[in-house]
Amino acid sequence: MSLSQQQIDDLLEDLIALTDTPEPDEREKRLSRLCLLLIEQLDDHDAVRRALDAVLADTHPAPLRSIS
Amino acid sequence: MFELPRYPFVRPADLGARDGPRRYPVVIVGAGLTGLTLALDLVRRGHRVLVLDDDDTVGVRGLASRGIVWAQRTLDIFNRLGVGEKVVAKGVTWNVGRVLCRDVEVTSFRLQEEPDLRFNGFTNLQQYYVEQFLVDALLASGLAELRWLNQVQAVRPQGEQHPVELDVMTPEGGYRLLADWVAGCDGSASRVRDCLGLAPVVFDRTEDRWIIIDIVAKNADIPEERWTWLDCGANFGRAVWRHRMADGTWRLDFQMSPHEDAAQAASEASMRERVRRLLGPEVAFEIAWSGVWQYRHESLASYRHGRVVFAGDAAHVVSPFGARGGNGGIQDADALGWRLSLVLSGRASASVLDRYSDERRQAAMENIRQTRRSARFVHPADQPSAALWRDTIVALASRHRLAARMINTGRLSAPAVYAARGPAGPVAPGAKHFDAAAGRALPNVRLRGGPAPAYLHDLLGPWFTALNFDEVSMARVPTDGVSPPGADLQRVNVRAFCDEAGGAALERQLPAPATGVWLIRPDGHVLSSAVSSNPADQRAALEEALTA
Repeated sequence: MSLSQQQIDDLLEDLIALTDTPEPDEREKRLSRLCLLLIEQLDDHDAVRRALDAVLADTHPAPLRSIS
Repeated sequence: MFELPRYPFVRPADLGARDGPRRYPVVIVGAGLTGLTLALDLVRRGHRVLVLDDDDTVGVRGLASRGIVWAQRTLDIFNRLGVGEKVVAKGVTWNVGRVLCRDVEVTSFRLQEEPDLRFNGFTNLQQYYVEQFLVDALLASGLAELRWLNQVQAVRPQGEQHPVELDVMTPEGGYRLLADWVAGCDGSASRVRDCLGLAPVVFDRTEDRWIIIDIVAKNADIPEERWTWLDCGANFGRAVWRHRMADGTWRLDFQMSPHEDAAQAASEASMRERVRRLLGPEVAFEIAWSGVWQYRHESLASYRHGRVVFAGDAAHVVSPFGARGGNGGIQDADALGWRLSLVLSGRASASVLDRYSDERRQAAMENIRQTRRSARFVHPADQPSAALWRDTIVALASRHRLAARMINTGRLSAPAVYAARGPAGPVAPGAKHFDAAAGRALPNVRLRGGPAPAYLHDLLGPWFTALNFDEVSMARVPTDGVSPPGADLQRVNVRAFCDEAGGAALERQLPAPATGVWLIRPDGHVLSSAVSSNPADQRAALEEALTA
């Protein structure tokens, strides 16, 4: 991880600002947009797959997936 | 168990004086960390100082958080003032910190072990010991008068051209005195501030409450490390801090539940139960000190008001995450002492104190910015967005490095970086003549090892120093008297004091390549790392610093 501690702290500050809205729908919309943009920026299918699987594995009950 | 010293009240000669109020060049109100450090700085520069304090001991009575962690920069300042070795010898130096979530270690840090530098890592020592060492040094100087149980009741500025009037109450009655300069170092409930009708800007205050329980453990085998639990099972899912101090004493700091009764929490039985839950029933201990505390973030808009200057908690208050309160106050004193000395001696105009205010307010705002982030992480309270990310980070921290690094239980105090300045004012990073070292504290690099080591700060004079990193022929060049008269400039050729390892250490530690001539301020901050070797140019840069 090449980020400095200061950069990591600044990132968290911006993430908190991003989700700082009283509307749950709005918060989810912002987070899902961020997800898609990060996936596009990352441009690494395997890495995205691993991250997604890790989150799905932590999700209880497991969400229904129409592709499998 | 340590007993706080009691300093006797001595009837001041001012009481009952018939020839009107006596006049003093500088009066420091408050014999706490900041006031004592400032007094010692002025004494070391040859000034007589009068210190007034409403108490008769060191440390803090009552319910308050007390400093215990002294940063490398603070140790360098104490070393310059002659008390650094005492603090380090008595204290506990630590390098390892661990963070636990759900009682499992998720991250740890090892402060860089720094053989390159004079002091390594942080030293933990109870605040009352530090203050006692400062008091001892002041009394030994013969230039300081410390008046205990002298409570300032009124402060009346009389305009820029006249001394400030102070009314002081003692157990034997009141008296009035005049002060050319007053330093308000009387803490977060500053009486001096109130007397001037000044109110700090409050950025936030929180309902988050903590209880400190300092214990002397008799049979505990606890490593000398800083541990912070974010959600400790033994504290019902709330945070706990654990630090080692001198005399086998441990600082245990427990975050309280929102609706917990403070008096109940501070009862002997309740505190003992809390400690037992954390350390286990087999550990025998005595409670050395306890107190419930809350925090807030605030700062005065300016730290100079005519002939009154403010420093320490009287000027700004931060939460204790990162040990930025006490260490910040000591850096205030460091930045103020030399400037006030120049003004007292008539060598510089009072406007240099405005530069002090600008610099230290900038530093305070950075401390507030950092500690607000830590405080919000530890206690998101009614901020759902902060709570969302905190909960996510805690859940992932044991398996994901980025999440672990996002945990913020306090970013430890670092030396202030003051704005780099050119003849036309501050120079922004990226600008044509930006100097990457200017404004930074000069690291106290080990220049020579062996039985008689030499350090970079040993080469600094009491006033300005021109460090030449290129010349090797002659160690010290005779000191110049420069304009304004009496402000000395000492010139030193650094390489003459350096062995090979020291040369390499300079390259690693300095914030810019160790070449050319660097001009260093009396507080050890770099004024410029790009001064020409021409003495006239050095003098011009120095004068610019003195004329603000």
